[in-house]
Amino acid sequence: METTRRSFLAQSAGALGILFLDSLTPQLLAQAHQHAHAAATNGLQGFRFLTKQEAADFEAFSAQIIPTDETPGAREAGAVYFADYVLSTINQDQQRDFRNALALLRVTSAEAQSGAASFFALPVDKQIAVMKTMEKPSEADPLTAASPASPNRSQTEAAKRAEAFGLLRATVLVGTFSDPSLHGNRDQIGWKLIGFNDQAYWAPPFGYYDAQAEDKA
Amino acid sequence: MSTSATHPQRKYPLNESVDFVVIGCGAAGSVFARELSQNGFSVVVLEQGPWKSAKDFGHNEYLTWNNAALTNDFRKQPQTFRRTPQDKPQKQPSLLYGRLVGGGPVHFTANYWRFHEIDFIEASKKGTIAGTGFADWPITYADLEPYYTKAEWDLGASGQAGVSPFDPPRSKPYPLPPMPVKPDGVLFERGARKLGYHPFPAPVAVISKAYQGRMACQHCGWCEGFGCEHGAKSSPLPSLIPQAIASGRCEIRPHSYVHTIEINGQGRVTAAVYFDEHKVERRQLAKAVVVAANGAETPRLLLMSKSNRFPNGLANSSGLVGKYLMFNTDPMSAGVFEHELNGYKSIEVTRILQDFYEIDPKLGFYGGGGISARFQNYPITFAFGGLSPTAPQWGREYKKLLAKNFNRTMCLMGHGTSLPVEANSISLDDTVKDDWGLPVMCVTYKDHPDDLKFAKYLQDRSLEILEAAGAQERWAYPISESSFAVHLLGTCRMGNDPKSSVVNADHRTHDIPNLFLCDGSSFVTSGRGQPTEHIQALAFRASDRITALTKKGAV
Repeated sequence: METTRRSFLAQSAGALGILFLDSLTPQLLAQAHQHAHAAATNGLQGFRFLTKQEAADFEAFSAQIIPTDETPGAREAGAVYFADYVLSTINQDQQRDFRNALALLRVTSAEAQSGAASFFALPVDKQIAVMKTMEKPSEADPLTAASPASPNRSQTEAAKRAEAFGLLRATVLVGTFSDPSLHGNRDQIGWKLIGFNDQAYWAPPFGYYDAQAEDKA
Repeated sequence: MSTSATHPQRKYPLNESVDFVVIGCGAAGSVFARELSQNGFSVVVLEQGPWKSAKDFGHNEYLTWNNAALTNDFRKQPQTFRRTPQDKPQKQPSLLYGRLVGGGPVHFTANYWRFHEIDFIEASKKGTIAGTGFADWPITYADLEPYYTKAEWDLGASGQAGVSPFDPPRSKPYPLPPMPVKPDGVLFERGARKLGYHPFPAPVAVISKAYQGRMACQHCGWCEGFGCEHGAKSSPLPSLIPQAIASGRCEIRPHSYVHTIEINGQGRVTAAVYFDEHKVERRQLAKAVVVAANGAETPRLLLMSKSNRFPNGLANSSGLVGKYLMFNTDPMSAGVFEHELNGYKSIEVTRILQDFYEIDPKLGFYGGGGISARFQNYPITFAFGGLSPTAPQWGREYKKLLAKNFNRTMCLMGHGTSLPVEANSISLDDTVKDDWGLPVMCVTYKDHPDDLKFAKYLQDRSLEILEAAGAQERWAYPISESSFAVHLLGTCRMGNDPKSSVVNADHRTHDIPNLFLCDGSSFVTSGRGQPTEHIQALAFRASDRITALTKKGAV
């Protein structure tokens, strides 16, 4: 029987390959709202493993997994820097899988929009359609209507795309919520989002209900 | 990281036949290290993993797990899995265990439950179960009670005796008061009492107050999966290990991976052969060997130690080494509440109930267990699986739910029985080798139908408790066949009959007079989901038995 945590541990041991690099200038929230292409050419730099285009594609992907709205998202948390750091240091054995996953993201992007050479340059609605196609290949293909020329894909290829989506999504999540020493979760953006605070000590009451119980006692 | 070189201790030459070689320095091995050395014997402990200290532990969720900092590393020691013996094994991670000095208790959640009287005599009371090896233990609760007490007092357990009507009799209370209740404990207690159940403070191997020179728990919250930086979790590291070293008769050798136990022409064990940290083969002579390598590595080592005398593996005349593997079930459900729980603060579990330790036979299936209110997901794991299974997995709504629910979600985990089924096993897979060139373990496991039925029963009760506690939303995680486990039980079972068991009530193998086995492999039945205190009580008792036998020249 598998609980979520234990399942994660199994995934982590077998599949997750992710993360970290030297500190770069943190992107400001305002910058994150700029067009992805601008981010790719002006903001992303200093990578050890990822090419600039790969970094731009992955950053744009991350921005759809945990979007920027009234609060920062995965882009501002620097999930892409986490990815580059771990792939160039502790998870070098995962480089090929990660690169292949990004290649599949580009292939699917080209199918979504004829001539598209990247994911990050697609309009947001097309990016989302690409991601949905990769995520759930067994369901109705949202790209079919938009791209009638899209070839029928075999089950194996569809499974590969789903696996690629899973690896990229997992990297975004870890890059957003991991310890900041791994070059993601910048300024603890991920932790602040969910209300987590890492300390060496706490004292009761720990939350609302135990405080309420103490008051009644 | 600390190594043997940084821990001043007695050193023994390889060619000195020490009184005992203990293989594995985890929950049980550390007990033998301290007890046998304090009883005057020379002891060498061979541990596969490193020797770490509190200063080596931190809060890095990803690095700890990705680097397998405290556990076996599937990249270096792969495993294969199959559902039945007829299936082809597939390479996949299946069993996770502590792999360092201190073992699983370094990273465990710290639930510290005794078995109850019924656990030892259940087959006699309820009858056999077709298709299983359901049997009584060769010892009783009364035999083990003094050793539960010893474990609680020597390692340091917190709890409140006598508040649960299901609590077994005990000779002494817990040495330390229970840990402060957490918000999820308050809600759990509220919901459970509404339904007529009997929740009580969780017994835990964490010290609620300063104890034996150790600092009290600081409530940092990083227990499950992490080592304790304060030394407040009562693993062997801050308790038994330094006492063993202080005896002046115990040497602990980390990075020592035993692959063969040798025997002589008289059928007695004479040495343990192992790879050191440089993968150089070493051979330590011994007058007797105690294997406490865990419920997976102990049978694997016996199966690797083949000889003309034991062509099917050492001490395996019964053919049962590796058989009757049990996992325990852990059905989980969750609910979201209006106000903040902040479950990440303090220990994982502060309230449990054991009203379902035994169930109504009219239900038509076997099972028993308890339920705990539990913090289950740190930030990364929450992002992976902390939301309802029907929630979106990315995008704006996903982000919104992460932000809202992380501090408002309470998990209930059931802790249930697994029946002993002979086909469920640890065997060797010679088609896959680990980084040392040794055959990897093949895990064969299919849950008994009753185990899954009882897991569903516990989960249904958990959902009712969540509703009674006022959850705004609640859900159950799917219950499916096991393929990944952390409780490794039953693979060299105890018993009086050499044909149906591997070790006797003294943990001596039926086949070899100076070879003892004691860890999760000794279990006859699975217990109700928290095996660590039971393993350690068995080890304390076995230490006494082995000491007595040795001193009268019977080993």
